[in-house]
Amino acid sequence: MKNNRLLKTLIILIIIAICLISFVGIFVKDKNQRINILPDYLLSTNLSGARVAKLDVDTSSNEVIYDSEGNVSQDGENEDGTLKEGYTKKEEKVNPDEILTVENYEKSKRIIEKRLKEYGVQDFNLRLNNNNGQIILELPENSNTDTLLANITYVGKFEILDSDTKEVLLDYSKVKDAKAVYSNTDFGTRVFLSIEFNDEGKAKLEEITKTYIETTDEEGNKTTKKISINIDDETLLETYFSETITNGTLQLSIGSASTDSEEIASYLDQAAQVATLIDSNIMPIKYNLDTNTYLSSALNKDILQIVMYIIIAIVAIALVYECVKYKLKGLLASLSYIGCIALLLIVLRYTNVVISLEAISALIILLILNYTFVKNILEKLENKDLSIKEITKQVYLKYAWILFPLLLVSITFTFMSWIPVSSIGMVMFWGIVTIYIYNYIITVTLLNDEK
Amino acid sequence: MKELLKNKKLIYIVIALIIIIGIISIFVLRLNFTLMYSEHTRINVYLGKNYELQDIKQISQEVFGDQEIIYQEIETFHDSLAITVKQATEEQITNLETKLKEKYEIDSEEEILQVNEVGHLRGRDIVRPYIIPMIISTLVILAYVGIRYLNLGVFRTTFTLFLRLIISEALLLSVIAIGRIPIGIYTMPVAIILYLLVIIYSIIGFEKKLAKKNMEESKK
Repeated sequence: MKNNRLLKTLIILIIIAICLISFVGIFVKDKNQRINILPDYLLSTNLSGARVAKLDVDTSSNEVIYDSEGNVSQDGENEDGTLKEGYTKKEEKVNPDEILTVENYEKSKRIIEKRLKEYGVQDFNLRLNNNNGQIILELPENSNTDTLLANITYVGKFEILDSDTKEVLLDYSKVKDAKAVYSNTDFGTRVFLSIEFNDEGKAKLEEITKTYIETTDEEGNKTTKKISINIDDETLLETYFSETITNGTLQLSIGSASTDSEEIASYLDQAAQVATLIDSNIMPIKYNLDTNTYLSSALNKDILQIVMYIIIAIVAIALVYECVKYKLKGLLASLSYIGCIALLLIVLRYTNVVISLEAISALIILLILNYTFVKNILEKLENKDLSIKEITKQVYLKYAWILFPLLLVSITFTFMSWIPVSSIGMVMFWGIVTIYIYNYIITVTLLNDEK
Repeated sequence: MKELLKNKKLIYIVIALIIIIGIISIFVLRLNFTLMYSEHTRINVYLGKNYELQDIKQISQEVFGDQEIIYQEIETFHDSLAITVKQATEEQITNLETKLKEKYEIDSEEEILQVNEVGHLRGRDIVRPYIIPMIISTLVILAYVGIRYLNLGVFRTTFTLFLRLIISEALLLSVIAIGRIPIGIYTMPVAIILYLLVIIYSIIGFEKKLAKKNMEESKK
């Protein structure tokens, strides 16, 4: 009897400690200030804020020089800036008027969406203004956001050119697939951008790798014929080939061989971004990144607070009802209930679960489930013929059949890449596990009156 | 029993009517969206100094009147914010700029506002990320229900659950359409709560039926 009372007192103290840790925190002194060592909640964009980028259709013009045969020329100007004989200069819009159609705006939006998904962005909004083609992009704020925004406006025009004559040798229309790959070497892991060409491209690539090589003449002088690999007329690299490529796959080394995992991850990221640009369709319209700012959540904080207070009030009323109906047992069960929620919140912090509005909806379901779970135990305790062991077995078995399908749903959602969906899964998973284990160890022990 | 059946029939008819009216309403009147999800004007205000949100709210309400206004902080330096309204005329924008410059003693030559016309977020873009996860999890749940409640009839249980899920979400959408409730940031969380509650309610119902059937069989 005495031991039972001691155990219950200890459990109550543990519950109070869990509640204090969860709702207040653990503060330690660090460099003359007190900091909370409990990890912060990770909030999704709809709760915290997002980087908002405005992409405008490029309305600028470029001067294009044509030779006498009507071909675009890169060296049509004399040293003094005048045009060579037979050459003409025209001002051409980057985006001619005829391509500025709703269809092309929609196509550009779809390509950007595809790129974002391939970049692994798990939570974004894209809005298109059909009148002027303007696209508003809302992204999570993290260490990759700036790099992503720098790459998102590329049209994706991949070309292999002769470095000297600028003749286009191969272009995006011959690309079958592009991806980031890596291999282990004696010096570490090396990351490659692997570009696979179709049959036509494969034959052309073989020809290029036989032509653009380093040669040594009779006098021992070396000459190299180089190619340029460009994206949107920007040179990625210039190189020549030391061996003929017959398999139709061009592998370009990104960075250097490394044993540092962070460095390797960074190279993989770079390679993956370029691969995405090459692999996704070419954008019909060139966009410019106009503005790029971080905006806090549009959620009305006052409304959110009111909703939180309503939930707390409903929970409080329900617990008070339990205390009134079941007296001391009701009070102990209510205390245990609050401890369970507090523990779940600590678990969510430590498991880096992103909290979104959708995850909060899952939390509401868990609050209801935990309440009915504990209420079931209390109701069965009224029956003095049943031992606590039998009651626990009955309630756990009953809830196993209800919680198991929810566990299946939560596991399914957890594997989805879209953050608001995966956050529901993770919250539900940890919630179900916590309810089951916590109530077995804490609630049942607290409510056990057997000697 | 007859009355219960009669009531059930009435409920089904009412639900069907609501769904039909909802579908008609969607095609005729289209859905209503909150300010942030529909076309709107976002005015970025760069004050360059700390501000009190109450003061900004007061000035905005004087300028924009009864319009719904949303305030969002830009960056974390507390010196700029975004004011979102449905529509803003040139006069209103000029008026806002004048009042803000007056309040925060900013030079009249300085540009402090940047006006952006923001397009709407399409309904299908809001729902699309949830479609595949919901389909996969529904298939998983239906498979579980079919196996677990084999004794109650695979087709009966899976069809009942499937129908309940479809009808509950259709009912929610119809209520939103008929009531012209704006679709916004809370809509998908509510749809998910409904989805989970329907699964829980159905499972509890099936468990009771199964327990009853098992008891009857054991009595025989």
